[in-house]
Amino acid sequence: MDGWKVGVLHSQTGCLALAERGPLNGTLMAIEEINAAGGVAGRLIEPVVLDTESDENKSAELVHKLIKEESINVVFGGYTSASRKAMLPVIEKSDSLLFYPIFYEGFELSDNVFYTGACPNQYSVPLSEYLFENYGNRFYLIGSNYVFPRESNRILRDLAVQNGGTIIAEKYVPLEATKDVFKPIIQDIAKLKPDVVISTIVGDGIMDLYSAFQDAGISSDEIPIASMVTSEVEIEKMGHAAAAGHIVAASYFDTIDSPENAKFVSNYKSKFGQNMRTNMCVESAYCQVHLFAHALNITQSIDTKALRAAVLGAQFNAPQGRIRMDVENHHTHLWSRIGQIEKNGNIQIVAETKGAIEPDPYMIHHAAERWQPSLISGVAK
Amino acid sequence: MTTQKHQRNESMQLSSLVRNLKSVRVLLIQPRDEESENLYRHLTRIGCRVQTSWPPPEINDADFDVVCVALRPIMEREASLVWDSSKPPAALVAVIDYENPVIVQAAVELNAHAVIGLPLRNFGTLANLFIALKNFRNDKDQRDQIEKLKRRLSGMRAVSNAKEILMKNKGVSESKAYSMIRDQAMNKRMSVQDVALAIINANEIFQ
Repeated sequence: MDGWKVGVLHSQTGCLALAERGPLNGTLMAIEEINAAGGVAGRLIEPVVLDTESDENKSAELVHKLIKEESINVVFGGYTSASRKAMLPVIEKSDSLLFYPIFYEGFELSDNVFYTGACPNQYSVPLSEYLFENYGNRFYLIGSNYVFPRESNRILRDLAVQNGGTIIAEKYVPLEATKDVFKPIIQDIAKLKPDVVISTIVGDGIMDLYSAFQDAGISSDEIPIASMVTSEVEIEKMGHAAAAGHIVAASYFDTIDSPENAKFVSNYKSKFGQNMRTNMCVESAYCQVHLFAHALNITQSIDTKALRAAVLGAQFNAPQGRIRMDVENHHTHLWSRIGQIEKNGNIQIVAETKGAIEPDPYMIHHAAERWQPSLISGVAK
Repeated sequence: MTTQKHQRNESMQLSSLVRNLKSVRVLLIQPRDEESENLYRHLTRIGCRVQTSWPPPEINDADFDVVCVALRPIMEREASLVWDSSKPPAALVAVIDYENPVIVQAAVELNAHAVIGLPLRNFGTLANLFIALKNFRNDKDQRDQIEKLKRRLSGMRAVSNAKEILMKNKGVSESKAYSMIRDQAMNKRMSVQDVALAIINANEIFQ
C-alpha cells in the first residue's frame, strides 16, 4: 500500500542552513519514530524533502512543485516569516496544510496553517515579567532589521511602559551583520548601563553579538543579554565562555527533566551525533509531526478538510510537557520557560509556567490581566 | 440640504468616480518584485494610468490622484518618504504584507485612506481605490470648508473690533460704525474685512 506522502521544506544550504538543520532533523526523527511503530493506519509516512536554499522565492517555488507535481497537500517547514509569507498564497489557493514550527511575531491566522512555535504572549510577556522582577526596568533593545524584531520590540516597549519601565535605546543591525556593526552599539551599552539588553538578533549575528560583548569586557553579571532567539545551537557555536550568565526564554530547553525529554534528547544525539543539541525549533518540528499523525490516525484520510478538523484540539505529550493545538486560532498551547546559561553551556531553568499557556496571536487579552506574577514561578535551585 | 438632495449628490459623486476611474493617475511606490508587478498589472487592467517609482520620489500636488506605498520596504530600507499627512497631495493607499501593529501603525501615521494587503487578491483592489479617492476628497472638502469658515470667523472678529474702535474714537453708534466701514469698502473697492483690518492696524499705530 502507498505511504502518506508529505512535503518537508527547509534550507540545507545558504545562511539559514545551520539554523534550519534542527527543525529538519526534528521532523525526520518524528517521521522515523512513527514509521518504526508501524506508521499510521498501516501506512508509512513518506517525506519528500527539498532544500529551500535560504531563499523565500525558492520556498514558494518548491511548495508549488510539491503540490502540483507530487500531489502533496501536507507540508512541514518554513523558518523565517518571509518564507512563511511566500508559501502562504500557494498553500491557501490549493487548500493545503502547512505546519510551521518556528516561534514568530504573531498577527497572522490562516485556516491553512498550523503554527506550532510560540507567539509573543508565550515568550515576550513572561520574559519581560521575569526581567522586571529580577533585573530592573531599564531595557536596551537590539535586533536584526526586519519584521520580527521590530514587532517584538514594539510589544516589549508596551510591556515596559505598563510596568513603569523604560526603553533606553532601540537599535537595528542588518540581518547579515558583521562583527564591526556591533562595536559602536557595545560602546553605547557600556556607557548607558541598562539593566538588561534584550536581543532579537537572528542568524550568525547572534554569535558576533555575544563575542563582541565578551571582547569589550562587559560581564553578564553586570549587564546580561536576554533573548528568545538565542538557543542551545548558538550557545555551542559561540562557545560556552561567551554565553555564560546570559538569559534565554523559550518553551523548550534541552535540560528539561522529564522522561519524554530524556528519550527525545538521547534519540536525537544517537541519530545525529553526540555533540548535537536539541532546541525549541527541533522540538516544535518534532511535535507537529506527532500532532499530524495523531489527527491522521483519527481521520484515516489525508483530506485537508477532515485533517484540519482533527488537528484542531489535538494533544501531545511533548518533550516540553503536554501541548495542545487550540481549537479556534490554529496556534499551539505551549509552556514558557526562562533559563540562565551556565559555564558549561547548559541552560539552567530558573522559571517556568505551571502548564501550557493559551496562544494569543493577536494579543487581544490585556497583558496585565493575564500575566499575574504567580503564573511564572521560580524553580528551586 | 434635504436628505433626498444629499443622496442625489452622493450618487452623482459616485458615478463620476466610476467614470473617472478610467483616468485615475496612480503612483506605485514599491521596489520591483513579483508582488509589485501583480499590483501594477491589475491597476492597469482596471483602467488606471500607473507609474512606478523606487525609491520614493518627491510628490507635488495634483501630480497623482492616488499614491500606493509599500510600507515595509520603506521601514526596513530606511527610505525617506516625504508625505504631509495633514495636507496630502493625493489619496494614499498603504500596501501591506504583514498585519503587525508596527506596520499598521505606520499606515495610521501616514493617514492612509485605504489599505491593500499582499499577497494581492485582485478582488478588492477596485473597491479600495474607490474608498481611498472618496476618503481623500471628503478630507480635502472638509479641510477647505474649515479654512473658509476660519477666514470668515476672523473677518467677523475684525469687523467687530473695527466697529468698537470707531464707536470709541468717533463717538458713533454701532450701526453707524458699520455703515462707515461698508461705505469705505464700496468707495475703495475693498472687502469689508480688509477695511476693518486697516482700521485696526491704523489704531494700533496711533496708540
